[in-house]
Amino acid sequence: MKILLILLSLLSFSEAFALERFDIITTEKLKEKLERRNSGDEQFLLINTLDKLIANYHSIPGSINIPWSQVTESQNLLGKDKNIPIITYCMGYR
Amino acid sequence: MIYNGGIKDWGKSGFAIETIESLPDIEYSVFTTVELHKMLQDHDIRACRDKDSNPLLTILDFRTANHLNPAAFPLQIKTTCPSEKFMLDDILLAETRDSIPRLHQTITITETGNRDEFIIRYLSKYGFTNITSLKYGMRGWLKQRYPTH
Repeated sequence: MKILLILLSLLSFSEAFALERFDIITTEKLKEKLERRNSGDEQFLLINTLDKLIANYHSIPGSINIPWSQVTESQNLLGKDKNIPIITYCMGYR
Repeated sequence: MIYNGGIKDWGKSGFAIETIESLPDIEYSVFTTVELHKMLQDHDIRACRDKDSNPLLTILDFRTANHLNPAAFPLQIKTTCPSEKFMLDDILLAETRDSIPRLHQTITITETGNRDEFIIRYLSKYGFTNITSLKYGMRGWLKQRYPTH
């Protein structure tokens, strides 16, 4: 029982750690970054991870669409610069 | 970085949203898990077949998890009614749409019910009128502890 509890706590720590590795960006900050990108002052990729059918219906202008289930097959869409910042989004929290 | 506000917050803030392909605004039926459970119980008495042996209901299962890891298949609704599995974007293909029954009732199953609207609105462009969605998707079914296999 004690070992099980230790394992569970380790697992929950790993999951929390994984989520905390990514910064969250606000709507205002994203808008500002897109404006900076449009004026050539900043570079980043904005990725809509929704299914293609849904992304075709609504997407933030300036995004590319890579459905999350097809990341492996779509790596070529990310370009060759592996250091370019990437911002992902989908439908939004519910 | 993650923009977790997503399309919803972007649109709420009044910023532009790009549409490459519009979807028709239609009204469609939504079953609750309780309604679907009752319907399946009734259908299962007749092995989910009408007098001509056609299915009374076909489940259109759009859960991505069905396709990611065949070794860890997600739980399925337990019923004698047939179930067909698709990735959502499969319906962009005519051959997939041709495999979806048109003449009898179908119901979409997604993870949480959030994507059903887009599936039904898209398929309505191709004349599908008998598609219902399941409120809260498979998550709702599992929450009620209804039969799975």
